[in-house]
Amino acid sequence: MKVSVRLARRFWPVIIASSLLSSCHHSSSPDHPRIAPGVTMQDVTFYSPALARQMPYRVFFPTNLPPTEKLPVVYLLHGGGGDYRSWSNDSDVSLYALKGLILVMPDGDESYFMNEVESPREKYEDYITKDLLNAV
Amino acid sequence: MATLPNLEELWTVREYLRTSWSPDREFVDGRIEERNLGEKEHSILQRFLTVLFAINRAVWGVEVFPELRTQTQARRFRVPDVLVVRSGEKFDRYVTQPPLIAIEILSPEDTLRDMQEKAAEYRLFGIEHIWIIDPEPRIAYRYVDGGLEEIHSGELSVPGTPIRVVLSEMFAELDR
Repeated sequence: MKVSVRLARRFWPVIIASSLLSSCHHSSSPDHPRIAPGVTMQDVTFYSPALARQMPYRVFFPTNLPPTEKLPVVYLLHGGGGDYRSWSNDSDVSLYALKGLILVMPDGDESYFMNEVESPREKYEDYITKDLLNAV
Repeated sequence: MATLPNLEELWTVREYLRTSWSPDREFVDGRIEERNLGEKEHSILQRFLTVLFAINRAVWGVEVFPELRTQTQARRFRVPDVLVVRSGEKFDRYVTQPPLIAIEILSPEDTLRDMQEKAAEYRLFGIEHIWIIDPEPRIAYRYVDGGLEEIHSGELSVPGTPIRVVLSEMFAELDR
């Protein structure tokens, strides 16, 4: 699988998780992330060439992560109606950072994280599998 | 072909410093930015922190300033909700050296993402202790290199000093 091969070059081992987690966490709703002790949360905005706009993602990582240490990265995709904050607001997923994982939660707007046929500019698959991986 | 004029008027630092607003605004690379505040919970926590640092200033060795213009870069002025400097540090109209603590209290319109960007700017400026307080869920964060840590110990503190803000006491103010 192309994505796994590409990731594996950068991190060991690599896990990609996607979810159909139903969520009603809209961008207008309060943002109350659950951050476990010993975990740091970072919100990042980066430019996606595939979407031709800035996109946000949220990251959980162990607070005392040595700069040179490589950890497995888990990409968590939100469900319908959600956004990049959903996993952190609606679950205690940050606890997994204590197990030595880096959790990356990108924003997928209202897409299915796939390149859209009817809207060729909405290349969400390229955004995730190329732009996001390069940005993280 | 005619060139369209730049419709966005940029301010100079001098113009910004000569202008006052209530509430005060920030200056970011020539643009004037409004701050989100004015709601009751924000005001209560800002008052609590200002009074707490003021009554303890001799013991804690600090001076506290609510909403004081702080020059974080040559063309950037921020207005932290509460600013704490070490006793004896001198400045004129606005702060140009990194203070000890910068505290931001979230308003409903603020986002954690925007606040992290501001906190990163504070850190780049050299502020060691950056605290972010969210009144609604009653949570406090400490900005560390690279992100936010939630305060689970029940208090915000500055290691090596007697400075200590007990979160339960601070948030209890919201119930009075």
